[in-house]
Amino acid sequence: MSITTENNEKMITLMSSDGEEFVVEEAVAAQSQTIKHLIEDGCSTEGSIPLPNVTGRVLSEVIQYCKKHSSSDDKEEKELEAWDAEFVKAADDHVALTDLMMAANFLDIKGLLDLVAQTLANMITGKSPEEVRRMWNIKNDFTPEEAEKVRKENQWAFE
Amino acid sequence: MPSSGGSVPLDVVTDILCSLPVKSVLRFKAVSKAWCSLIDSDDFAGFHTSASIETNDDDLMLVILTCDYVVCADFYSLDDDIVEVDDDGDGVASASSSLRQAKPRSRPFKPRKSCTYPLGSSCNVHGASAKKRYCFCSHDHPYKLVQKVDTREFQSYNLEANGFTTFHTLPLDATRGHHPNGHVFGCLHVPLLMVLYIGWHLQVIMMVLYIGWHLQVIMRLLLSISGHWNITSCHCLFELSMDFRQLLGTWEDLCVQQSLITVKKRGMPLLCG
Repeated sequence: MSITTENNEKMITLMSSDGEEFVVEEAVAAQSQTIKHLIEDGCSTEGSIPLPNVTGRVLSEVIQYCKKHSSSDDKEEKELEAWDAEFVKAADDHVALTDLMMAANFLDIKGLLDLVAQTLANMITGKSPEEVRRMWNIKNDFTPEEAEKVRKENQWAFE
Repeated sequence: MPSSGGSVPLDVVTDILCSLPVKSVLRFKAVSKAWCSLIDSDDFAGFHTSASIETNDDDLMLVILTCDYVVCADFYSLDDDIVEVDDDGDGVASASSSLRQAKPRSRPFKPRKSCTYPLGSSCNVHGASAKKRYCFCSHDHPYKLVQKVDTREFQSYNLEANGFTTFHTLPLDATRGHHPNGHVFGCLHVPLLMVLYIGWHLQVIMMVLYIGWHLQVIMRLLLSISGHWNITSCHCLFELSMDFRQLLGTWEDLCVQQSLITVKKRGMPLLCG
Protein backbone atom coordinates (compact mmCIF):
# COMPACT_ATOMS: atom_id res chain seq x y z
CA MET A 1 0.00 0.00 0.00
CA SER A 2 1.46 3.35 -0.89
CA ILE A 3 0.74 6.18 1.39
CA THR A 4 2.37 9.57 1.29
CA THR A 5 3.37 11.60 4.32
CA GLU A 6 3.17 15.35 4.66
CA ASN A 7 6.63 15.88 3.36
CA ASN A 8 5.79 13.76 0.39
CA GLU A 9 7.83 10.79 1.49
CA LYS A 10 6.37 7.66 0.04
CA MET A 11 5.57 5.08 2.65
CA ILE A 12 5.44 1.38 2.17
CA THR A 13 4.24 -1.44 4.36
CA LEU A 14 6.29 -4.48 5.18
CA MET A 15 4.77 -7.58 6.62
CA SER A 16 6.78 -9.99 8.69
CA SER A 17 6.42 -13.76 8.62
CA ASP A 18 4.26 -13.60 11.73
CA GLY A 19 1.93 -11.07 10.23
CA GLU A 20 3.19 -7.93 11.87
CA GLU A 21 3.02 -4.84 9.68
CA PHE A 22 5.55 -2.06 9.57
CA VAL A 23 5.00 1.18 7.76
CA VAL A 24 8.26 2.76 6.74
CA GLU A 25 9.49 5.39 4.37
CA GLU A 26 10.44 3.98 1.04
CA ALA A 27 13.94 5.36 1.35
CA VAL A 28 14.37 3.42 4.55
CA ALA A 29 13.04 0.18 3.16
CA ALA A 30 15.04 0.58 -0.01
CA GLN A 31 18.23 0.08 1.94
CA SER A 32 17.33 -3.49 1.44
CA GLN A 33 18.19 -4.37 -2.12
CA THR A 34 15.61 -7.10 -2.02
CA ILE A 35 12.85 -4.68 -1.09
CA LYS A 36 14.16 -2.09 -3.46
CA HIS A 37 13.82 -4.51 -6.33
CA LEU A 38 10.37 -5.49 -5.19
CA ILE A 39 9.40 -1.83 -5.16
CA GLU A 40 10.88 -1.32 -8.58
CA ASP A 41 8.94 -4.28 -9.84
CA GLY A 42 5.79 -2.68 -8.56
CA CYS A 43 5.17 -5.09 -5.72
CA SER A 44 4.57 -2.38 -3.20
CA THR A 45 1.65 -0.76 -4.94
CA GLU A 46 -0.85 -3.32 -3.77
CA GLY A 47 -0.96 -3.97 -0.10
CA SER A 48 2.09 -4.73 1.95
CA ILE A 49 5.28 -6.44 0.98
CA PRO A 50 5.38 -9.84 2.62
CA LEU A 51 8.71 -10.92 4.02
CA PRO A 52 8.15 -14.56 4.79
CA ASN A 53 11.66 -15.16 6.09
CA VAL A 54 11.74 -12.44 8.68
CA THR A 55 9.90 -12.36 11.98
CA GLY A 56 8.43 -9.17 13.36
CA ARG A 57 10.97 -9.01 16.12
CA VAL A 58 13.87 -9.24 13.74
CA LEU A 59 12.26 -6.98 11.19
CA SER A 60 11.80 -4.22 13.73
CA GLU A 61 15.52 -4.38 14.46
CA VAL A 62 16.34 -4.32 10.80
CA ILE A 63 14.11 -1.31 10.29
CA GLN A 64 15.74 0.42 13.21
CA TYR A 65 19.07 -0.07 11.49
CA CYS A 66 17.81 1.07 8.11
CA LYS A 67 16.20 4.17 9.60
CA LYS A 68 19.39 5.16 11.27
CA HIS A 69 21.44 4.56 8.19
CA SER A 70 19.14 6.32 5.80
CA SER A 71 19.00 9.44 7.94
CA SER A 72 22.73 9.77 8.47
CA ASP A 73 25.16 11.11 6.02
CA ASP A 74 28.88 10.63 5.78
CA LYS A 75 29.71 13.41 8.15
CA GLU A 76 28.26 11.46 10.97
CA GLU A 77 30.36 8.43 10.32
CA LYS A 78 31.85 8.33 13.80
CA GLU A 79 28.52 8.64 15.44
CA LEU A 80 27.12 6.00 13.15
CA GLU A 81 29.88 3.64 14.07
CA ALA A 82 29.13 4.10 17.73
CA TRP A 83 25.48 3.57 17.02
CA ASP A 84 26.25 0.36 15.13
CA ALA A 85 28.32 -0.89 18.01
CA GLU A 86 25.45 -0.26 20.41
CA PHE A 87 23.03 -1.81 17.99
CA VAL A 88 24.80 -5.16 17.81
CA LYS A 89 25.52 -5.03 21.49
CA ALA A 90 21.81 -4.87 22.14
CA ALA A 91 21.26 -8.03 20.12
CA ASP A 92 24.03 -9.51 22.15
CA ASP A 93 23.64 -13.24 21.92
CA HIS A 94 24.59 -15.22 18.90
CA VAL A 95 21.10 -16.55 18.30
CA ALA A 96 19.66 -13.07 17.94
CA LEU A 97 22.62 -12.02 15.86
CA THR A 98 22.29 -15.02 13.61
CA ASP A 99 18.62 -14.24 13.06
CA LEU A 100 19.57 -10.70 12.24
CA MET A 101 22.26 -11.89 9.92
CA MET A 102 19.91 -14.20 8.08
CA ALA A 103 17.44 -11.38 7.71
CA ALA A 104 20.15 -9.06 6.43
CA ASN A 105 21.17 -11.76 4.04
CA PHE A 106 17.66 -12.30 2.77
CA LEU A 107 16.93 -8.61 2.58
CA ASP A 108 20.31 -7.93 1.09
CA ILE A 109 21.43 -5.06 3.28
CA LYS A 110 25.14 -5.04 2.90
CA GLY A 111 26.02 -2.71 5.73
CA LEU A 112 24.01 -4.66 8.23
CA LEU A 113 25.29 -7.94 6.91
CA ASP A 114 28.89 -6.84 7.28
CA LEU A 115 28.25 -5.43 10.70
CA VAL A 116 26.63 -8.55 12.07
CA ALA A 117 29.06 -10.87 10.30
CA GLN A 118 31.92 -9.05 11.92
CA THR A 119 30.26 -9.21 15.30
CA LEU A 120 29.64 -12.92 15.01
CA ALA A 121 33.12 -13.44 13.69
CA ASN A 122 34.50 -11.66 16.72
CA MET A 123 32.47 -13.95 18.91
CA ILE A 124 33.77 -17.13 17.39
CA THR A 125 37.26 -16.24 16.37
CA GLY A 126 38.94 -17.90 19.31
CA LYS A 127 36.50 -20.73 19.69
CA SER A 128 37.06 -24.38 19.04
CA PRO A 129 35.19 -26.21 16.29
CA GLU A 130 33.23 -27.97 18.99
CA GLU A 131 32.08 -24.69 20.51
CA VAL A 132 31.06 -23.42 17.11
CA ARG A 133 29.04 -26.57 16.50
CA ARG A 134 27.27 -26.06 19.79
CA MET A 135 26.48 -22.46 18.98
CA TRP A 136 24.65 -23.32 15.82
CA ASN A 137 23.63 -26.92 16.48
CA ILE A 138 25.83 -28.13 13.70
CA LYS A 139 26.24 -31.84 13.49
CA ASN A 140 29.76 -33.13 13.42
CA ASP A 141 29.60 -35.42 10.43
CA PHE A 142 33.26 -36.30 10.32
CA THR A 143 34.42 -39.75 11.17
CA PRO A 144 37.15 -39.71 13.81
CA GLU A 145 39.69 -40.47 11.07
CA GLU A 146 38.48 -37.63 8.89
CA ALA A 147 38.45 -35.27 11.82
CA GLU A 148 41.99 -36.21 12.64
CA LYS A 149 43.03 -35.64 9.06
CA VAL A 150 41.53 -32.16 8.94
CA ARG A 151 43.18 -31.36 12.19
CA LYS A 152 46.53 -32.63 11.08
CA GLU A 153 46.45 -30.72 7.84
CA ASN A 154 45.77 -27.54 9.68
CA GLN A 155 47.72 -28.22 12.78
CA TRP A 156 48.89 -24.72 13.39
CA ALA A 157 45.35 -23.43 13.42
CA PHE A 158 44.62 -25.59 16.41
CA GLU A 159 47.57 -24.53 18.45
CA MET B 1 10.76 -17.90 15.76
CA PRO B 2 12.88 -20.14 13.62
CA SER B 3 15.85 -21.37 15.53
CA SER B 4 18.90 -20.00 13.93
CA GLY B 5 20.64 -23.07 15.16
CA GLY B 6 20.06 -26.05 12.99
CA SER B 7 20.39 -24.45 9.66
CA VAL B 8 22.65 -21.53 9.28
CA PRO B 9 22.72 -21.23 5.52
CA LEU B 10 26.13 -21.56 4.01
CA ASP B 11 26.05 -18.14 2.43
CA VAL B 12 25.60 -16.70 5.89
CA VAL B 13 28.42 -18.87 7.15
CA THR B 14 30.53 -17.59 4.29
CA ASP B 15 29.95 -14.03 5.35
CA ILE B 16 30.93 -14.77 8.90
CA LEU B 17 33.99 -16.76 7.97
CA CYS B 18 35.11 -14.04 5.64
CA SER B 19 35.41 -11.77 8.63
CA LEU B 20 37.66 -14.17 10.45
CA PRO B 21 41.41 -14.45 10.44
CA VAL B 22 42.89 -17.31 8.53
CA LYS B 23 43.79 -19.27 11.59
CA SER B 24 40.22 -19.42 12.80
CA VAL B 25 38.95 -20.21 9.35
CA LEU B 26 41.25 -23.17 8.98
CA ARG B 27 40.37 -24.42 12.41
CA PHE B 28 36.70 -24.30 11.53
CA LYS B 29 37.25 -26.70 8.71
CA ALA B 30 36.81 -29.21 11.49
CA VAL B 31 33.28 -28.02 12.26
CA SER B 32 31.53 -30.11 9.64
CA LYS B 33 31.97 -31.45 6.16
CA ALA B 34 29.88 -28.67 4.73
CA TRP B 35 32.05 -26.05 6.38
CA CYS B 36 35.15 -27.87 5.32
CA SER B 37 34.25 -28.00 1.67
CA LEU B 38 33.04 -24.43 1.79
CA ILE B 39 36.37 -23.28 3.15
CA ASP B 40 38.28 -25.38 0.67
CA SER B 41 36.47 -23.95 -2.28
CA ASP B 42 38.21 -21.55 -4.58
CA ASP B 43 35.25 -19.25 -4.36
CA PHE B 44 35.57 -18.93 -0.66
CA ALA B 45 39.24 -18.15 -0.86
CA GLY B 46 38.38 -15.41 -3.27
CA PHE B 47 35.72 -13.96 -1.00
CA HIS B 48 37.94 -14.15 1.99
CA THR B 49 40.78 -12.52 0.18
CA SER B 50 38.70 -9.62 -1.00
CA ALA B 51 37.18 -9.24 2.42
CA SER B 52 40.62 -9.15 3.97
CA ILE B 53 41.75 -6.62 1.48
CA GLU B 54 38.70 -4.51 2.05
CA THR B 55 38.99 -4.39 5.78
CA ASN B 56 42.69 -4.85 5.98
CA ASP B 57 42.72 -4.70 9.70
CA ASP B 58 45.17 -7.46 10.10
CA ASP B 59 47.79 -8.87 7.90
CA LEU B 60 46.17 -12.17 7.33
CA MET B 61 44.76 -13.15 4.09
CA LEU B 62 43.49 -16.39 2.82
CA VAL B 63 44.86 -16.99 -0.56
CA ILE B 64 45.03 -19.78 -3.03
CA LEU B 65 47.52 -20.17 -5.72
CA THR B 66 45.66 -20.37 -8.90
CA CYS B 67 47.64 -17.90 -10.79
CA ASP B 68 50.00 -18.77 -13.46
CA TYR B 69 52.95 -16.79 -12.50
CA VAL B 70 53.82 -17.82 -9.08
CA VAL B 71 56.30 -20.22 -7.80
CA CYS B 72 56.26 -21.24 -4.29
CA ALA B 73 56.87 -24.22 -2.22
CA ASP B 74 56.36 -25.38 1.22
CA PHE B 75 59.89 -26.12 2.05
CA TYR B 76 58.98 -27.76 5.22
CA SER B 77 57.35 -30.56 3.40
CA LEU B 78 59.76 -30.66 0.61
CA ASP B 79 59.94 -33.88 -1.26
CA ASP B 80 60.97 -35.11 -4.63
CA ASP B 81 58.41 -33.45 -6.70
CA ILE B 82 58.32 -30.15 -5.05
CA VAL B 83 57.21 -28.10 -7.92
CA GLU B 84 54.02 -28.32 -9.76
CA VAL B 85 53.27 -26.79 -13.03
CA ASP B 86 49.91 -25.59 -13.95
CA ASP B 87 48.64 -27.43 -16.94
CA ASP B 88 47.60 -24.39 -18.77
CA GLY B 89 50.11 -22.43 -16.90
CA ASP B 90 52.27 -19.77 -18.19
CA GLY B 91 54.24 -20.09 -15.12
CA VAL B 92 54.88 -22.38 -12.34
CA ALA B 93 53.04 -23.07 -9.26
CA SER B 94 53.95 -25.37 -6.56
CA ALA B 95 54.05 -27.44 -3.96
CA SER B 96 52.83 -28.19 -0.54
CA SER B 97 50.25 -30.83 0.05
CA SER B 98 47.64 -28.24 0.73
CA LEU B 99 48.45 -26.52 -2.45
CA ARG B 100 48.08 -29.63 -4.42
CA GLN B 101 44.61 -29.93 -3.19
CA ALA B 102 43.96 -26.40 -4.09
CA LYS B 103 45.11 -27.03 -7.59
CA PRO B 104 43.32 -30.05 -8.85
CA ARG B 105 44.28 -29.33 -12.39
CA SER B 106 47.93 -29.22 -11.78
CA ARG B 107 50.18 -32.08 -12.47
CA PRO B 108 53.32 -32.84 -10.59
CA PHE B 109 56.45 -31.53 -11.99
CA LYS B 110 59.78 -32.67 -10.88
CA PRO B 111 62.66 -30.36 -11.37
CA ARG B 112 65.12 -32.09 -13.55
CA LYS B 113 68.76 -31.72 -14.05
CA SER B 114 68.26 -31.98 -17.74
CA CYS B 115 65.89 -29.16 -18.06
CA THR B 116 63.66 -29.46 -21.03
CA TYR B 117 63.53 -25.76 -21.27
CA PRO B 118 66.50 -23.76 -22.16
CA LEU B 119 67.73 -22.05 -19.12
CA GLY B 120 68.75 -18.59 -19.82
CA SER B 121 67.74 -18.61 -23.43
CA SER B 122 64.10 -18.45 -22.71
CA CYS B 123 64.20 -14.79 -22.14
CA ASN B 124 63.91 -14.26 -25.83
CA VAL B 125 60.81 -16.27 -26.20
CA HIS B 126 57.60 -14.47 -26.80
CA GLY B 127 54.04 -15.34 -27.36
CA ALA B 128 52.48 -18.73 -27.34
CA SER B 129 55.64 -20.71 -27.25
CA ALA B 130 56.35 -19.12 -23.96
CA LYS B 131 53.52 -21.04 -22.47
CA LYS B 132 55.41 -24.23 -22.29
CA ARG B 133 58.40 -22.80 -20.63
CA TYR B 134 58.60 -22.67 -16.98
CA CYS B 135 62.02 -21.56 -16.33
CA PHE B 136 63.60 -18.64 -14.81
CA CYS B 137 64.86 -16.70 -17.72
CA SER B 138 67.55 -14.66 -16.28
CA HIS B 139 70.61 -16.55 -17.35
CA ASP B 140 72.83 -15.39 -14.61
CA HIS B 141 70.32 -15.68 -11.85
CA PRO B 142 68.66 -18.99 -12.05
CA TYR B 143 67.02 -18.75 -8.70
CA LYS B 144 63.58 -20.09 -8.67
CA LEU B 145 62.44 -19.91 -5.16
CA VAL B 146 63.70 -18.21 -2.20
CA GLN B 147 62.98 -19.20 1.27
CA LYS B 148 63.94 -17.76 4.50
CA VAL B 149 65.40 -20.20 6.93
CA ASP B 150 65.70 -17.79 9.75
CA THR B 151 66.20 -14.10 10.03
CA ARG B 152 69.68 -14.32 8.68
CA GLU B 153 69.70 -17.24 6.40
CA PHE B 154 68.01 -17.69 3.10
CA GLN B 155 67.91 -20.51 0.70
CA SER B 156 67.02 -20.45 -2.87
CA TYR B 157 66.19 -23.17 -5.20
CA ASN B 158 68.53 -22.97 -8.05
CA LEU B 159 67.24 -24.48 -11.21
CA GLU B 160 70.59 -24.81 -12.77
CA ALA B 161 71.97 -26.69 -9.86
CA ASN B 162 68.68 -28.37 -9.20
CA GLY B 163 69.15 -27.80 -5.55
CA PHE B 164 69.14 -25.31 -2.79
CA THR B 165 71.77 -22.79 -2.13
CA THR B 166 72.14 -21.11 1.17
CA PHE B 167 73.16 -17.56 1.55
CA HIS B 168 73.07 -15.04 4.27
CA THR B 169 71.90 -11.97 2.61
CA LEU B 170 68.95 -11.78 0.45
CA PRO B 171 69.90 -12.45 -3.12
CA LEU B 172 68.50 -9.30 -4.44
CA ASP B 173 69.73 -10.21 -7.82
CA ALA B 174 67.48 -13.13 -7.68
CA THR B 175 64.65 -10.76 -7.44
CA ARG B 176 65.53 -9.05 -10.61
CA GLY B 177 64.49 -10.77 -13.68
CA HIS B 178 65.34 -7.71 -15.56
CA HIS B 179 67.34 -8.72 -18.48
CA PRO B 180 68.44 -6.73 -21.46
CA ASN B 181 67.26 -9.42 -23.77
CA GLY B 182 63.77 -8.91 -22.64
CA HIS B 183 61.48 -11.25 -20.89
CA VAL B 184 58.70 -13.55 -21.51
CA PHE B 185 55.32 -12.62 -20.42
CA GLY B 186 54.03 -15.54 -18.51
CA CYS B 187 57.29 -17.19 -17.87
CA LEU B 188 58.65 -17.13 -14.48
CA HIS B 189 61.57 -15.10 -15.31
CA VAL B 190 61.35 -12.70 -12.53
CA PRO B 191 61.45 -13.07 -8.93
CA LEU B 192 59.06 -14.47 -6.98
CA LEU B 193 60.26 -14.17 -3.66
CA MET B 194 58.40 -16.01 -1.17
CA VAL B 195 59.48 -16.27 2.31
CA LEU B 196 58.28 -19.07 4.37
CA TYR B 197 58.68 -19.06 8.00
CA ILE B 198 58.94 -21.17 10.92
CA GLY B 199 56.58 -23.71 12.18
CA TRP B 200 53.24 -23.90 10.60
CA HIS B 201 53.02 -20.33 9.64
CA LEU B 202 53.68 -19.20 6.23
CA GLN B 203 54.60 -15.87 7.43
CA VAL B 204 55.60 -13.96 4.43
CA ILE B 205 54.83 -14.16 0.86
CA MET B 206 56.62 -11.60 -1.01
CA MET B 207 56.51 -11.33 -4.66
CA VAL B 208 58.47 -8.61 -6.11
CA LEU B 209 59.33 -7.76 -9.58
CA TYR B 210 61.89 -5.27 -10.39
CA ILE B 211 60.37 -3.47 -13.27
CA GLY B 212 57.29 -1.41 -13.09
CA TRP B 213 55.56 -3.17 -15.88
CA HIS B 214 55.96 -6.41 -14.08
CA LEU B 215 54.74 -5.04 -10.86
CA GLN B 216 51.31 -4.85 -12.27
CA VAL B 217 51.43 -8.48 -13.09
CA ILE B 218 52.54 -9.29 -9.67
CA MET B 219 49.84 -7.36 -8.02
CA ARG B 220 47.23 -9.04 -10.04
CA LEU B 221 48.66 -12.18 -8.70
CA LEU B 222 48.59 -11.04 -5.23
CA LEU B 223 44.97 -10.27 -5.45
CA SER B 224 43.98 -13.42 -7.22
CA ILE B 225 46.15 -15.73 -5.34
CA SER B 226 44.37 -18.27 -3.42
CA GLY B 227 45.25 -20.98 -1.04
CA HIS B 228 45.60 -21.33 2.60
CA TRP B 229 48.40 -19.13 3.52
CA ASN B 230 48.90 -17.02 6.44
CA ILE B 231 50.48 -13.97 5.09
CA THR B 232 52.10 -11.40 7.19
CA SER B 233 53.44 -9.19 4.61
CA CYS B 234 54.84 -6.55 6.80
CA HIS B 235 57.32 -8.85 8.37
CA CYS B 236 59.16 -9.11 5.19
CA LEU B 237 59.63 -5.42 5.26
CA PHE B 238 61.25 -5.57 8.56
CA GLU B 239 63.54 -8.22 7.52
CA LEU B 240 64.32 -7.47 3.99
CA SER B 241 66.89 -5.11 2.86
CA MET B 242 66.70 -1.49 2.05
CA ASP B 243 66.48 -2.20 -1.59
CA PHE B 244 63.40 -4.12 -0.97
CA ARG B 245 61.73 -1.29 0.69
CA GLN B 246 62.55 0.75 -2.26
CA LEU B 247 60.75 -1.74 -4.36
CA LEU B 248 57.80 -1.16 -2.17
CA GLY B 249 58.06 2.42 -2.98
CA THR B 250 57.56 1.40 -6.52
CA TRP B 251 54.43 -0.36 -5.54
CA GLU B 252 53.19 2.81 -4.10
CA ASP B 253 54.03 4.62 -7.27
CA LEU B 254 51.78 2.19 -8.98
CA CYS B 255 49.06 2.99 -6.54
CA VAL B 256 49.22 -0.40 -5.05
CA GLN B 257 48.01 0.46 -1.66
CA GLN B 258 47.28 -2.83 -0.09
CA SER B 259 50.67 -3.80 1.18
CA LEU B 260 51.44 -0.30 2.14
CA ILE B 261 48.49 0.13 4.37
CA THR B 262 49.61 -2.82 6.37
CA VAL B 263 53.03 -1.45 6.57
CA LYS B 264 51.93 1.91 7.70
CA LYS B 265 49.92 0.40 10.45
CA ARG B 266 53.01 -1.20 11.75
CA GLY B 267 54.72 2.12 11.75
CA MET B 268 57.27 1.15 9.19
CA PRO B 269 58.96 4.04 7.56
CA LEU B 270 58.26 3.87 3.92
CA LEU B 271 60.90 4.62 1.48
CA CYS B 272 59.60 5.67 -1.79
CA GLY B 273 61.54 4.59 -4.77
